[in-house]
Amino acid sequence: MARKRPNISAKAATVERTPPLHPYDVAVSTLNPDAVAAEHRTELLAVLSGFARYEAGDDAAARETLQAIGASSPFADWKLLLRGLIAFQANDDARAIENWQRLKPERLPFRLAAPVRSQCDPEFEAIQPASVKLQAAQYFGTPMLRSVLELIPLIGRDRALDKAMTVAEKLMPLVKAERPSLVPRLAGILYQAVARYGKPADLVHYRKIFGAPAHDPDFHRINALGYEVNSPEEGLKHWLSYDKWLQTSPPGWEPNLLRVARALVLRQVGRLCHISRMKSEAPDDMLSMIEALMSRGRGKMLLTKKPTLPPATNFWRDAFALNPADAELTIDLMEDLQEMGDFDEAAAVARRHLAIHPDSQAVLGAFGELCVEMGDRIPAYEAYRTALQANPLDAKLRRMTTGLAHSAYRSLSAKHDATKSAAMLKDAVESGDPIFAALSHSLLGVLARKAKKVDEIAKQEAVLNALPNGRVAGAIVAAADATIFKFKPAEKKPYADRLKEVFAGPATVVELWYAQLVMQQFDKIGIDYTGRGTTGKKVSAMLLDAVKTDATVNERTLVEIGKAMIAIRRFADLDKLAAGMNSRFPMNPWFTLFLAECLLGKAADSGKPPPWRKLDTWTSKTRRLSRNHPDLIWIEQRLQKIEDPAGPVDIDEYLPN
Amino acid sequence: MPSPYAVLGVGPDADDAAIRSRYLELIREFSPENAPVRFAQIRAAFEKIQTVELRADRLVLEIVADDTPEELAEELAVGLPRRRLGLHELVRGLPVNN
Repeated sequence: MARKRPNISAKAATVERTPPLHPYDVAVSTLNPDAVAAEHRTELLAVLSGFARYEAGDDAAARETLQAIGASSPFADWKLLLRGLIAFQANDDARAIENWQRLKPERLPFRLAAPVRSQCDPEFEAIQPASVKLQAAQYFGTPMLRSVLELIPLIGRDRALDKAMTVAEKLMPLVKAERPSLVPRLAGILYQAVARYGKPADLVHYRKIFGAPAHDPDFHRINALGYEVNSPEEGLKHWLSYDKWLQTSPPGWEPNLLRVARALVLRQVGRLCHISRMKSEAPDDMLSMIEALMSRGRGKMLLTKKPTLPPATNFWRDAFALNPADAELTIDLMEDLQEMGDFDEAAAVARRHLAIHPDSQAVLGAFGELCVEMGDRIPAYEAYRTALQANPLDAKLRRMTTGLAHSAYRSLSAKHDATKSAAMLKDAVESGDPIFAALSHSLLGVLARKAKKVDEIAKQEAVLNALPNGRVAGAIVAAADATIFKFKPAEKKPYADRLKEVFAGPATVVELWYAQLVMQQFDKIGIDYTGRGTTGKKVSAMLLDAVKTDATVNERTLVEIGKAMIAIRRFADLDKLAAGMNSRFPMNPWFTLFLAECLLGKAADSGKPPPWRKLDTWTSKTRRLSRNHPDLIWIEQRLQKIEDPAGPVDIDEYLPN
Repeated sequence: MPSPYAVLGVGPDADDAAIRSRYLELIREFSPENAPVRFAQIRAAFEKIQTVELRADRLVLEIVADDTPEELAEELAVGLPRRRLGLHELVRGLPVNN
C-alpha cells in the first residue's frame, strides 16, 4: 500500500536556509565515528558501509547493511537518503521519491538529496532555488548545459553583458556541434539581452559570435531601440536608416509585412518627434518645475526651447499612407492635424481608416469628438452610435449618443432622410436618461404639434411641467424648441410666456441647477438658437441668488452641486456660487475648499500660475474649518494635493463613481 | 520556447493565409484532447504571429524574448543520464543557500 505523503509545506520542502547541522550529520559527513555516542556508533558505521557498497555498485549488500538502522534511529534519515539513491539509480523514481519524501527538512540528508530528487520529482523541482538546479546540472549535466546555466545570472537589468558574451562565445562551438538547432535561439537570447541591457560594444561582440542578424543586419533597429529614450536624435537617425534598409526589400520580408513594418518605423519616428516637441514646451526637469511653483507665480512655468527634431506630421502622414488600417497611427495623426487646426484632413484620415475598420472603437470615438468640435452633428452622432452598438453598456458613450441624437434630430428638423431620422428620434427619446427627459418630452410635444395631435400635445406638456425639479428646464427647452422648429408667432407665444412666468417667479437651487445642466447639454451637443445666451445668463444669475436665499436647499445638496461643477470644470460659475455658499454657511469647509479649487482650476485653464497668496488663505481656512468635520480625511487629502507643488492637481476624484 | 515561426514550421516570409493554413493543419494533427501541451504551444505561437500587424510589431518595435537561458537549460536538462553519487561527492557538492 502506498505511503501517505507527509504533510511538508512547500516552504519547508525547499532548501532555502542553511540550519546548523545535527552533530550526527557532521559525524557522517566527516566520517568521524568518535563524534557519536557509543550506542549509536554501529548505526553510523552501517551508513558509511552502506554508502561504500552502493558506490561499489553492490546495491543489494548496501540495502542489507542498512537493516541495522531502525526507524527511530538518529541515522534513519541517512538510511532513507541511501535507499532513495539506490532506487534512483535503478530508475525506480516512485520508490526514490517515497524515501526522500520522508526526510526531515532540518537534517542534512534532505539537503543532499534535493539536487537528485529534483531530477525525478517535478513538483519538488518546481519549488527549488536556482542553486539546487545548478547543483543538479553539475552532477548530471553536459558541459553545454553547465555553460547555459552559467549564462542565467549574467543576463539581467544592471548587469554588464561582457561576461555573458564571453560565456556565449565559449558555448557556441558546443551548441554548433551538439545541437545546431539551438544556435538561432541562443543568438535570439543574446540579441534581446543587448536590446534591453546592452551597450554599443556588446554589438561588436555579438557580431563576432553570431554574425549579423538577418532582420537587422546593420544593427540600426537595435540601436534605435537603445537610443530612442535617452538620445532621441540618435534614435531617429537609426530608425530612418532602418527604414532605408527596409526600402531595399530585403529577402524574407513579404511585401505586405514590409509595408506594415515601414509604417511602424515611421510612426515611431513621428512619436519621437512629437515627444521632442512636447519636451521643448515643458520645464527642463522636475527641479525647475518645483522652483517655478515655489516661486509662487514669479517663476516661468513654461520654458520654450527649440525642438531638436522635425515636426511629426509628415512622418505620420507617410506612415498612414503605408498603413491606414493602424488605429493608433490614425489617432496620432488626427490629433496632430487637429492641433494644427487642419480639421478637414483629420476627418479625412478618420474616414479612410473607418472605411477599412468601420467598428474601430478608438477611431470612432476620436472622429465623433472631432465632428462635435467641427459642429458636424450628424456624422458625430453616427460615429458614436456605431461605437455604442459594439459597446452597449458604456454609459458615457450612450449619454453622448443620446445627446447627439437630440442635437442632430433638431438640426435636421423634418428635411432629412426618414429612415435616419427615425433611428435618431428613437435614440433621442427612448434613452430613459433623466438628463434628457426635458429634451425628450419637448421633442415629442413638437412632433405631436406637427401631427396636429391635440391630446398628445397636452400630454407631453403636462409631463414636461411635472418633471421632478424640471420646471425651469422644461420651460427653457420648450421655448428653445419653439424657436428651433420655427413655430409661427402665435404658436410660439405660450412657450415664451411660460418661460417668462418661470423666470419671474422664485425657483429652487435644484431646479436651477437642473436647468444649468440642460443648458450645458445644449453646449456639449451643439444645440443653438436665438436667445440661448440670454437664457443662460438669466439661469446663472437666478442660481446665484437662490444659493443665498433658497430656504429649501441644504448644505449637502450645495456640496454635491459644487463637486459636480468641479467635475465638469465650471470654475468661473462655481467661483461665484461658492462665494454665496460660503457666506451662507461660513462654517462649512467644503465651500472654502471650492474657492481654492476655483483658483487652481481657472489658473490651469488659462495656463497661468495660480494666485498663491489667495490660495493659501482658502486652504488654511479650509483646514481650520475641517478639524471637526465628518469629511475631514477626504478634505485633508485633497488639501495636501493642492499644496504639493510637484503633484498634479487633477479633478478625477470629483467625478461621480 | 522556440520562436513561433519554428513552432508552426513556417518561414519568416509566410503571409496571413499561409500561417493560418499551417495552424489549422497542425491543430488537426495535435488536437487539445490528444496532445494538450503541443496544442497549447501551437495555439500560443499562432496568436503571436497570426496577423501582419503582429508580425511587423515583433520585428520592429517589440523586444520579444521567445526564449530565456532558463528555458534552454530546461530543454537541455531533459533525459540526462543517471550516475552513482558517492557520499563524498554529495557532501562536497552541497548547495550553498542564502
